[in-house]
Amino acid sequence: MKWLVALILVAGLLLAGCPQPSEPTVPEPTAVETPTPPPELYDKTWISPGKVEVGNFYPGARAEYMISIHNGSDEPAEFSVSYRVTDNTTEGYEPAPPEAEGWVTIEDPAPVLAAKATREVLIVLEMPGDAEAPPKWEFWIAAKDVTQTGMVQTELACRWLVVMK
Amino acid sequence: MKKTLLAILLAVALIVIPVGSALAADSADVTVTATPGWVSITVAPTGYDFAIILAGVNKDTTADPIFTITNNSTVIMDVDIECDGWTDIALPPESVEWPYADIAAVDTGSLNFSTDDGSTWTYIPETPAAAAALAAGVGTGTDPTFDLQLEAPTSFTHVDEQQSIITLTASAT
Repeated sequence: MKWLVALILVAGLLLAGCPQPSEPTVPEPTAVETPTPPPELYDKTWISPGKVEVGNFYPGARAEYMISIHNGSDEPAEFSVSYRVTDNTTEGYEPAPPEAEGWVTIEDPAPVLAAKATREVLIVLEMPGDAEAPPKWEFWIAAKDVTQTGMVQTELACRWLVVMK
Repeated sequence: MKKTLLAILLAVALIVIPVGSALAADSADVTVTATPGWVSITVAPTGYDFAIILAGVNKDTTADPIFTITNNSTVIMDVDIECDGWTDIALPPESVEWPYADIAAVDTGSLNFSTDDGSTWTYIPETPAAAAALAAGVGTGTDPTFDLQLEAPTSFTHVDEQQSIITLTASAT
């Protein structure tokens, strides 16, 4: 009888010591530094980083990252932040499947930035559990100042490189 | 009493084992890494007026101006080019947009670019078709240049002024 009570106690302690199931955690970005941009970029419009690499990804997984957008002009500017099909792909990568656009959420797709202001925009990639993708695939997140008025305008893109588990 | 306690133990064991398995499934963490760097370009001039054009006669900017992309990026980058087709800038309902295509036809014009002073011209695709590569592997401090060409319609039935917005997209190589 005593040994059974002892066993229950031990089992209880083991159970209490076990990590409890919880919502899948969003991985913290690794190797993420937000270094200060060079001072000469203060009056230039830029995005950062140039590339986001997602590894060990799988159907049902989620990854997120903040991209930074800077308005280098002297006037407030509205930006359009959007998913973009790749114009070209990094060697070894395939374009994202067409449905991947629906897997990407842009927290603020139309941020308005004051002159010389920088804004971080959260990008979330969440692949459905029953979806399929190539082993290595790529999509872009593009940021464009929509207050540009000229015939020739510029857009800046951040490559997202995804490697499946 | 013993049976009850054994049942409790069994239940505890059954609870513990699946919890461990579920955690193992989540333990292969997704990784997210970023390469520090800034992507930034500017272009000048930002506009050009081809003015009055004649049917079947192409016009370009090889004489002046040449468009210069200033590469402010801290990373090696690619630049792609595309446009949004034609927009008739006359007020509706009179406005009639030309079709945009890579071969000129009646009321159909196209835009091309050149990075070799007009020796060769490359069609500028219309969104959402994939953009054309204007410059690849551009190093920091390197400022690519290009010219534009308007391939005029072979004849006109609509003579309203047309406009196209050209977009240059910069991305880290």
